[in-house]
Amino acid sequence: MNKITGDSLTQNLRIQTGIKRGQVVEIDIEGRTVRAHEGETIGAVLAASGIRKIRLSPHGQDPRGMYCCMGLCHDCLVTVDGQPNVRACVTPVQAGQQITLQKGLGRFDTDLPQPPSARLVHHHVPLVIIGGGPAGLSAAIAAARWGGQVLVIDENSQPGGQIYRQLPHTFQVNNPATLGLDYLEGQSLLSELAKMSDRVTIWGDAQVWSVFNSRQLAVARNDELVLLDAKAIVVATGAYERPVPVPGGTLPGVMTVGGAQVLLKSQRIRPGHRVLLAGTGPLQLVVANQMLDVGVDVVSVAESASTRDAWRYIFDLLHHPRLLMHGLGYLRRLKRHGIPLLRSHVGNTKAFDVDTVCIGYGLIPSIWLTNMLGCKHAYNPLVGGWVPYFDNNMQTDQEGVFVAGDGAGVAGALVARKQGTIAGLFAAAYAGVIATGQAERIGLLARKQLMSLQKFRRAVDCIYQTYPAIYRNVTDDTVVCRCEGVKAGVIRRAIKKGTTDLNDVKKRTRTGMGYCQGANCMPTVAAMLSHEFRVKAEEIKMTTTRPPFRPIPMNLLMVEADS
Amino acid sequence: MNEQVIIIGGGVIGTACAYFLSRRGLEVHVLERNHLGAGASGAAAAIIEDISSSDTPEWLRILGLESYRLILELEDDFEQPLEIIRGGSLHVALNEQEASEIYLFSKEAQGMGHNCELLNGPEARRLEPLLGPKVQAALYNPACYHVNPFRLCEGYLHAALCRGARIDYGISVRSVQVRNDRIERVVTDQGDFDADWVVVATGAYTPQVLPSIGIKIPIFPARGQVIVTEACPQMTQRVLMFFNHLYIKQTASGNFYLGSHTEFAGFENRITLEKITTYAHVLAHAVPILARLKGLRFFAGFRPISVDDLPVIGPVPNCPRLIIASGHGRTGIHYSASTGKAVSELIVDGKTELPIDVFSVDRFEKQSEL
Repeated sequence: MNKITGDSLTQNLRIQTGIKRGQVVEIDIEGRTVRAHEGETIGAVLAASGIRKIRLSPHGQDPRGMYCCMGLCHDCLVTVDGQPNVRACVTPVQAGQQITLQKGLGRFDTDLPQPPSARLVHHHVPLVIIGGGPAGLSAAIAAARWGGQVLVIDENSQPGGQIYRQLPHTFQVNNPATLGLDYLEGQSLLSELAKMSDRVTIWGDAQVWSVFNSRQLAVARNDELVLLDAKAIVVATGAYERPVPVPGGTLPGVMTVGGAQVLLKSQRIRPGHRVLLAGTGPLQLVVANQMLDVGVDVVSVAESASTRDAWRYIFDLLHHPRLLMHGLGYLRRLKRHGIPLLRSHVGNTKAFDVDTVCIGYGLIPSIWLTNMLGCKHAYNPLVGGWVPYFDNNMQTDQEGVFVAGDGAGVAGALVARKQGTIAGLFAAAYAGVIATGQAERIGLLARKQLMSLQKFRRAVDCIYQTYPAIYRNVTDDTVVCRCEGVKAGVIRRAIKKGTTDLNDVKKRTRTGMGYCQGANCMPTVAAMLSHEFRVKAEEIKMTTTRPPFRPIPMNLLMVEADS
Repeated sequence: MNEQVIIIGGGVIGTACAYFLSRRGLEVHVLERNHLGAGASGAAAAIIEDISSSDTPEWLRILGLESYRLILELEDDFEQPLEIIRGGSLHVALNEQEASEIYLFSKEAQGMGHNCELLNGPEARRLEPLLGPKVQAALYNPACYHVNPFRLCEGYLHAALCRGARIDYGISVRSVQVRNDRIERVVTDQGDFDADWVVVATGAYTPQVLPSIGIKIPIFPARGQVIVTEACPQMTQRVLMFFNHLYIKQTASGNFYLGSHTEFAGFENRITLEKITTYAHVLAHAVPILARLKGLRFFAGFRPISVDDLPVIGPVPNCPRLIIASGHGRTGIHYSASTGKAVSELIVDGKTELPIDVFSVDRFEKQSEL
């Protein structure tokens, strides 16, 4: 099966069963010719080639590797054909690419040709859905089924979001069962959508980066700067991993549990050989099982929640016996394979000899867009982040702006789909596609299902809620802002010297001024304010939301704007 | 002198006043309603240049030159470096019309004694390789540097704190009550404070603080939008300036700062597509490498611009112990040191070394009387 032509360890990282990768292409990595497959990302090829130290950070010269694996953290930056600061984890390989690894700041090859100026394009649509995960896709189906024209915008090359991640088109699926239930669910949702292709348009590789004039969306797409006006907007941008810094947390081989799942699902790459999972929440049980399925040596799963707490919620959990059995099934399977499930306490320490650590402490809703749209938010201590206010129709306090899915408060794929359906229906009603009464009637079933699911979900959230204790290991020497290399001690001193305003901390220390613009550090700083400086949750103001949502190429702005 | 001075405003002017006053031995208390440099000082380009034309009021030029020199000297007294980058500036012309204006400007500046040099396109590009082929001409002025504005505020403040000054954040001043020639009290949302002197250094918010005293000062918020790009290795130490107040500078951390027009949009803290595409367009044509970079964040700040474009420095006519230090427009960072020094001289010596009559508080009334 695996012809060992080089380092036998690295050959194992590509999962072979059940799929056939795209055709072989050759790329050059640091002067060495490497075989890759069409459809693979540069990150996947680096991992499969045993290259874990992807760059040296500009501030501390410390090695960094793939951490989030989904284009958010910008730790995996490489130089491709002379263009620096390319995210390896989301960039597909192309034959003949020359890839060099960065030491410090990426250098710009001044001889390269200029990128083209972008074209400014205006679109008017009745209904736009931002985010093509379970919530967004369900909203699209609900709205399109009743005749509405729907535009779905997604930042990945293929829709599915995180949980329903699909394989690259160039990969051939021989045995779908090996890819897991989520893959099949996602496929079924996508094929339902495909039947409505006359009404549903999906823009992939499209990034909403700003909101202008309170409602107009600016979208970066290919070489276009798109200004989008929509009557109704559904925000289904999901959630992302709560960052929990630890000493050594920036080392190559430390990644988020969600990131490990992305490697497994959408590139069929094993995240490592000997893996420790640590954190809290059902996701790490799921991912541990997915690793087990493909022969990864899972050394242990450490969980910070107590099973004692679980019993308190047994009645709510029994609302969905099938889901409960599913969850228990994951636990049983790990036990059967002799993988120790440890309860991690504050104060006890155990050492493991591993090459990969997957850290997962739950998810935080992504609220940049609802912020830019002017929606009201409230801090939800269970979620450990801000969530937008929404009513029974999933409408925010801004008329015509709806939310659904993990972006509305982390609640899992099933809840996301029901919320998406409701949001899609009422957004369609707002856009005038169907009558509100119709939306009420059609949405009745989804509402019922949602209520019962939410009880289950709340119970899960209560069991797995994060506690201040998880931040106890943030020593003064621990890097909190990964992008700018800012350590906790510097942040603590700045708070003492100044104020508890996150904007102040940012100016004093540069925390949050890097590529991820605070996504991976500000939640930690907020937690520090709450637990160490006793600031009440409601008094912790978010940093001011500014465009762009993600870094955008300057050539996209080089257009003649008409007002 | 053991007198108590309350400074309202923790931006570059307020902290500079705190610095100079504490150096002269006064008890200083700064009241800041938000955080350090929360206003224009935290959004500033922080370009400090000695340049003038025949239009420049003489006393403004002299105040500017003093401040230019002082900030360089003061760095030694500060806890942290200011990230001073001394590469001079290039005033760039991108078309023939601009080139002829630059030519006129160069003649005037040289006539005023500035040591600047007019360069044609190719010469400008030899001096500054970042400039692209669209450059027609440029005026090179070696007397220009830029700093990190936040470090400057911190520097002033920390040195003042070491000399006994105090600062309180999160306090909003509601009114300053005066009686006869004296300060009766400063009323805030967290209680009243006594003071012998009050310095109002509240930038664009100055008109909101003053109605209680019955004076009107025409200072308006002038919005400027800024683009910050990703960081790259140091490519230039120079400040590149273009027409319509556009500029490019590369900070010590490697990011390029691109700014900034002057718009009057009240306090609407918004980024507009019109502005950022305009300067992305202009600047990327002038400095081609910009088109290859990614924009990381866009933000806006509000500079306090007075109706005649001059700062407002001096005592309030009917209350000499109430001093205004505001309205510095786009040059607050630059004029901070000489403003702070002048305010400290007013309070301690009763007069300033450099004349500041042209910046007087009552000039607007006098002007309207004419």
